[in-house]
Amino acid sequence: MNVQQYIESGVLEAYVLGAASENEAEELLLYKKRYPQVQNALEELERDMEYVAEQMAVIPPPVTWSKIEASINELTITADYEPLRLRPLEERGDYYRTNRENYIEVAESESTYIRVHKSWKWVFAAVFVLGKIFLGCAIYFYLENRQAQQQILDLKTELRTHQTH
Amino acid sequence: MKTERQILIQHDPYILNELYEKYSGMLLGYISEVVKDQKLAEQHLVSIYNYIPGHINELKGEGINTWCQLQRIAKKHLGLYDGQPTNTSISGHDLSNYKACNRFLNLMTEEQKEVFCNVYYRGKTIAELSKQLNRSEESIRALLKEAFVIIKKR
Repeated sequence: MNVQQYIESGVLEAYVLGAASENEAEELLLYKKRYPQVQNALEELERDMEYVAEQMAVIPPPVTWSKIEASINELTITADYEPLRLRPLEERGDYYRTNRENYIEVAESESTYIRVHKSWKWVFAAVFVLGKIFLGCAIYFYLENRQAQQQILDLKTELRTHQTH
Repeated sequence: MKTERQILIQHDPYILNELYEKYSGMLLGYISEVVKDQKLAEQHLVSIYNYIPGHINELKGEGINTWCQLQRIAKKHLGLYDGQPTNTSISGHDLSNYKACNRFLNLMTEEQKEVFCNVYYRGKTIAELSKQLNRSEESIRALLKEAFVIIKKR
């Protein structure tokens, strides 16, 4: 291969500007390792690119760095905290896998869900049974009360008839 | 769990500052020319510098030119370098918008300028320009080469 001809072809310029095809880029990286002239020419072009950019530089306003710094400080302050992350079930660690059987999925919707510890199931069961007992008692006492009211009414009627006689 | 970005900030807080000191002006100048809006360019600059800590390895290493790599990151960020054909191109009257800022362009012919500006500011590939200008890829590369010769003469 004629190295000088390759350098003069403009492939290096295209590569430095990101305009070369993948094949051209791969070929160039190979030649760069193999031929020092290619490497030197490439480095020279990179310096030219830097020079062009220096000529066009625009000093950013001081507030620009403050914005970047604010973002960095935010991260540095919160760096020690474990961030909350939503991950697929299969990616969750051993902690979740080993403790998964202790949790009951109570409700699930598109965006939110809650998990409750299994020990709560006895509380829920007790509340359910007590609820049924209270309901039974309420019906029983209601009927008892209605029967008693009826008996009082009957007795009053009977008493009035005795008084009139 | 700490991200790569947080690790970088904790272990070497001056890297980003150094990169900012050295390249922010160059980067802002370049972005301003691409987007033609100073405020928008500053916003892009901030988001690029926020992106850098997580990708610091792309800027380090033997044989890597930091500026060229930063410019690649900027091009990606601006959507100029994503492997997709770009829709907009610079030609004719549009070229005059770039002359004032880039003194090298005043020394180039219209053809050299068109090729250089479309590659440099629009992220066009040689193949795209070849189709667009109805010229061979070799001649496009030759025009780009000539543009760089003018820059070298400076």
